[in-house]
Amino acid sequence: MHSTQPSPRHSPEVARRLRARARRTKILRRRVGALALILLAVMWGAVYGLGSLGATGRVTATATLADARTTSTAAASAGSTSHKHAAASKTSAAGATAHAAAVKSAAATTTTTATTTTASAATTTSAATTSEQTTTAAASTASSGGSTTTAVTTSQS
Amino acid sequence: MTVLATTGSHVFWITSRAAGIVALILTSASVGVGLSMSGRLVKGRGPDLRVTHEALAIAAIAAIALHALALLGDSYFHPGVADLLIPFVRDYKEPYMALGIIAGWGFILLGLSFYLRQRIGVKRWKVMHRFTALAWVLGVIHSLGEGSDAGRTWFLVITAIAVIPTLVLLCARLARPRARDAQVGLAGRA
Repeated sequence: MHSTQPSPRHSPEVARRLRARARRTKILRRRVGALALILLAVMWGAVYGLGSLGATGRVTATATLADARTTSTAAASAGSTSHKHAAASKTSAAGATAHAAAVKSAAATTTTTATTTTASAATTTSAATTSEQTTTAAASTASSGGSTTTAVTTSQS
Repeated sequence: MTVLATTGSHVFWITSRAAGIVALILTSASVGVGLSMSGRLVKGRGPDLRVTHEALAIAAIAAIALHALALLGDSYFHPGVADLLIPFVRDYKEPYMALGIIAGWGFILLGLSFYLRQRIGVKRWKVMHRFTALAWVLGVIHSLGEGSDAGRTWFLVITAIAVIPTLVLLCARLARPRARDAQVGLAGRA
């Protein structure tokens, strides 16, 4: 026995509330979706900028004091482009990044972990991973406006 | 373009790790909202909380899927589909990888079971749904045990911000029935 009375659900007040709830739901879903995408972008940047890139792109090297000083001086004179390049090459020294090492020259006698993008660095990587006693030069080359910086490194494994 | 050029073959690896962290944050938020709903900690916003909980869970499932899919493109790790879907197939950082796979499956299946709750039975589904918290705990252990950034301060800070509030809510939720039982027990003795 179905009632012929109109359902209370069809009353204008209920319909208005349902529409308002549907609108709120849509907004909430969009916000959560946007939040997730923003989080992904921020975390991608965090991993890229702060995280390690694993064993494939790494070479363990020891920077000499003189070379680190040279790097530091040249990096300072090269300016922001060199700084960016060093940062982009994701070189790290004694737990800090290479650009930090270049600017601060603090990692002179410490072990340097370097990830490089140049072909010579790739040679360094393969040499360091396959050989026990590899001494290679030119782990990172930063150039800007005619000034060239070369960091000479001795790799260890 | 510069970023892509410098990251090169690491794009998939970085994407997977980023998606893993996002999944950790979103699962923590989703479980946290779910616990505050079940514990009736927030009053008067039930429908909104439910929608938020559902949206966070779906976003978390998407992040978990991306976390696994992106690994397929990584040239160094180079896993097979079975390595990513079946626990203990690949002997890499075990048992944390297996815990991650179990947690991922648990979260996905228990999360999507919401849409089958009428078929499963609402009461049975509610009991099942509680195990989502267990999947979340396994996911946290996986990220701390296997994560490439697990030792890094920034990662630990993010994890602490995401995990601790939910962990507190979970502990409160687990402690509550016991307290109620204890009260019932005392009343029965009196």
